[in-house]
Amino acid sequence: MISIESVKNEYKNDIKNSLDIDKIESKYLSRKGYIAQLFKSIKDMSDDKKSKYGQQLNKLKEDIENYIVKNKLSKDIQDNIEINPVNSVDISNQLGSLSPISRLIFKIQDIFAELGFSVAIGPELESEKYNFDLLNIPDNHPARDVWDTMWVQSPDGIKSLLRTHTSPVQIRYMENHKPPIRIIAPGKVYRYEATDATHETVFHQVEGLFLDEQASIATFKGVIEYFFKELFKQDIKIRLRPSYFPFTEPSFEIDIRIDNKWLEIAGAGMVNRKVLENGGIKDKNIQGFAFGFGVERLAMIIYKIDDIRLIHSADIRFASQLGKIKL
Amino acid sequence: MKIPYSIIKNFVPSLKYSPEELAELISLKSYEVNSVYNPADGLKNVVVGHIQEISPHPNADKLNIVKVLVDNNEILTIICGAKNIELGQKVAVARIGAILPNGVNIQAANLRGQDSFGMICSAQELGFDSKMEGVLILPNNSVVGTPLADALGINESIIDIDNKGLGTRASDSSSFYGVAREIALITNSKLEPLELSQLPVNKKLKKNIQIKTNLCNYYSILEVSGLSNYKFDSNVLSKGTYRVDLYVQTDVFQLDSKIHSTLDIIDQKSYYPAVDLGNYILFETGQPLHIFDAEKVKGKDIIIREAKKGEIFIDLNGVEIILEKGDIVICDSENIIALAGIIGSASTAVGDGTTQILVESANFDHKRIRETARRLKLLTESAKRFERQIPVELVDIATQRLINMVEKSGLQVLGYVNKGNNKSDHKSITLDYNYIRKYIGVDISDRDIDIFLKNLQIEMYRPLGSHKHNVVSPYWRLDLNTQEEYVEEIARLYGYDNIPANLNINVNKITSDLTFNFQRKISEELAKIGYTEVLTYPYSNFGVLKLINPVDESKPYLRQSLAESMISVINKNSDNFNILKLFEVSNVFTSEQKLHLSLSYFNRDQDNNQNINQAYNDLLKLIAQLGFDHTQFITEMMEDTIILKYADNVIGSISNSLVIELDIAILSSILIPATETYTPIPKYPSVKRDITLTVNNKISAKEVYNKISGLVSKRCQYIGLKDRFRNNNLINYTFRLEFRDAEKSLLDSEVNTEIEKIQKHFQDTK
Repeated sequence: MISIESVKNEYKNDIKNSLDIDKIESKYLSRKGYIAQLFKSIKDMSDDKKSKYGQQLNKLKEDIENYIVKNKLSKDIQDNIEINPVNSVDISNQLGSLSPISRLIFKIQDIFAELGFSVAIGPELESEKYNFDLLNIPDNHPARDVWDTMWVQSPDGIKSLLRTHTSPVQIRYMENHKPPIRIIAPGKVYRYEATDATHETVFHQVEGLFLDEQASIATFKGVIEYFFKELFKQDIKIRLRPSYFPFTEPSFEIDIRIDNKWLEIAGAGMVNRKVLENGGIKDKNIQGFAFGFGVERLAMIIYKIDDIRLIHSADIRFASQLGKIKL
Repeated sequence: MKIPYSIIKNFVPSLKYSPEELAELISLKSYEVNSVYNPADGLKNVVVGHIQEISPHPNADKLNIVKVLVDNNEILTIICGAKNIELGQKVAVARIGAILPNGVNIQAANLRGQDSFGMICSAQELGFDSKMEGVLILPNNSVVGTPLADALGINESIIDIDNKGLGTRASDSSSFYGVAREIALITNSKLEPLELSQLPVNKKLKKNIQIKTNLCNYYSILEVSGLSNYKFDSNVLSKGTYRVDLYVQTDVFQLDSKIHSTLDIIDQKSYYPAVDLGNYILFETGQPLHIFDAEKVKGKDIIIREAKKGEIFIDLNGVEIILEKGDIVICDSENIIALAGIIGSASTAVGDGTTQILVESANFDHKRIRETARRLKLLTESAKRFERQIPVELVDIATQRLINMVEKSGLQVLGYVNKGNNKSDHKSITLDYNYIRKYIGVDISDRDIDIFLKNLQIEMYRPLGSHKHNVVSPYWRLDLNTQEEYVEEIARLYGYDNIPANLNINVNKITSDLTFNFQRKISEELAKIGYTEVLTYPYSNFGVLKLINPVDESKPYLRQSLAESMISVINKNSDNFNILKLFEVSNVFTSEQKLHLSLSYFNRDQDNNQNINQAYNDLLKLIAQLGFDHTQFITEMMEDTIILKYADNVIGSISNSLVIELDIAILSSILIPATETYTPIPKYPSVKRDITLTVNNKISAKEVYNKISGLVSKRCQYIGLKDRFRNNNLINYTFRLEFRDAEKSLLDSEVNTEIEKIQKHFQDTK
């Protein structure tokens, strides 16, 4: 025997369990539903009971109706996939497309995968410790000038920064993994600077780290040469030039030969012992290299994009163009 | 750091490389090179001219017809409006065909009826950073017809070395002589010594140097006299100035003209000759010198100490500087006379009438100089060098070099005094040649490594039969402190090009980040079904995390959601497209960082509901496509927003009925694989029935569908809309229903009962 109380409890339970909105409707409000059944029993009651009972029942009915109206919209959205097999979804003929950046990063992932590199990622919101200190760039060091930093303040006053390069991932990965290590770390980086055709405040880098007992400058040349040959699908020439980064020793600039010109394309070097130690690797037999390059810069060369600002312009006339481009 | 090629040639006379070849070699073996250029390239067809005749233009009050001799027997007629021209002046004449640095192409012209065949140029027109009015007047001894660049002594190649980011190697690469030494090393050439004079240790200067801080380990002062009344036209130029504009009176203390043309050419501003000489030695040796007017320094004391907080100092530009505790200062008996290693005081600066100078050469703690200079934003040439650490040995070398040049200029050294330790501490370290070979990956012989180290002037000691060596670097290489730093020296001298590429690496198991892989799959699948990925800026006008130095002041926060950006992308592009299918994957920032996906379907011919349904549909299909259980998705109304749940976890929301946004890091961690077991193929046939229902045309197919599904039993496995037909205010919907019982063949009557139930319902409600 059902009562207002028992129906109310069951209804509450059904809501809690997110019972399908249509089921709730038919269960309670249909012609044979609980509410209708409860209304039927009203005719056997005494008049004073009747009015109180009626009020309570009407209140419950209203509650249920309100709930159903409120939830109809979300239900409509949800139902479409199951109930509409005749009006099949119109998949437009227009091809979608990845951004040139994603396209390139995925391609880079695949090439490095052939050499046994995994993908690691790290936070964009970083601490000074990981972005600078542990990478052997102490406070006040002139090398910090190279990275114009965007600083961030949280409501509780804690100061952090948006990483200026993907190199902090090196440390974070070393802290949690033992060598041999072979990773690339793609992601966004941020610089506080004026934008122009070749400078952006947000852009992407791919970091690489390779550590084992054998990895030498010669290995680095092997890996990076393989990568650029695969990426450009031609027998591309590369060269190393001496450079300086606090987190590598020795440090190199990498040039590639394109259209009879040398183009500076990446920075690299043998990972500085201090950085290995900061990452928890104290074994002197472990050595290796790290490298990093700007994805936008590569994309601009490969896709012949003349203004870096187009990448973030969200102009679909630009974004949708690359749909059919294959590397 | 800009270095004239001729200076390099002076120090390395046997050099066979052209400036361009040399720059290439430097970039491959030593440091980065910004550029190689010749200032004369911008001054082609500009020559020294001699004004022969000036007559007024018949049709213009402000113009003159000027006849200028530009070659032995060639006189050009030029219309000129400058007020400062006079008969007999030597001037810079741009001939027809000249393209000036400001882009002006000189052509024959007719000005108010008079022909003109060239232009008499001002300093600005020639690309010099000058405030001087009128045309540039050249010294009287300039030779007519000489190209202007030659007359100014600036026709020469400059190699611009990038040493902005360099570490300790910066001090070594921040001087002409340091770079010349490096070039001698990489070209295997002989390096000429710097011409130095003896320190006048027996001419004791009566100054009492007191070093009261350990942030200065060596300090010396030289007194020079013989400068005479000399006037400087301060009304003229700033950086990039050419000396010819500057000196009103040049008959007294003549510096070698090469010094001035060198300062000109490397864009160093000229001041008084004594100051210029000090600057020249800074560039030549890498050691900054400071020049005081000797008569303005009070008393016998020279005190080097750390400042007290709040002390005040007026620098030579007249700027008041409030010092912090620990800034290193130089004081005479009364005042602070210099902020050590950074800038001198106004009260003791060389000026008009200075005849006697004190030349300070000293070494200060690089870290403290860096802190002070950066705090005060006073990155002078001196501070830039000190902050990168300078070997103390350069202090005496710079003084000796200055004495040498002073003697040639006819000035007198009056006295000298020094205090402190002039030797730097270079520790011996042990090199393991096997380690070096393993690091480089090439079997370089012991003998070759020995030769490289010898060429680097590194002292070596090797116990017999050992691969290990004790080495000490020369004083100018403060950066060689670890084996790896020696690896760099050996590898670059061996030649990076000579190191073979080695791809002999082990097989390695790949364990890529799962969220990243999921992000990739989603992105690729979305692109496949027609969605275009967009990238938008992370800045917003509201949020939790605030940028201390925002790039856009109106958006100082990091965004918490992608929806806002997506909506503006749609607004921006909706004029160009009828249908937009867009997504973005990006981090957003609440108190922490989250990886979000935003998804939007916009068809201008559909209403919001239809659009969002489409996007939601695509999302579910995508999840199904990736092999996960899409039925775990549900949407719920919560207050005014629609939230999205997967397997009872809130993972996203729907904004403005336009954008679906979800946290894909969370989603990827809770996704439930779709069932991969087979449901048995039904043994018994299904029964299909079409049913046409006539209803009021305000009732949607969806409502009818919902009603039907509430009426039928579990045997009904499929309900689909087959047709609709509108008839005035009524509408006919034809639905196909499919019934099946897993246990038996259905009887017609059983199906009929179900159908009748539906028909009855709709008859009742009509």
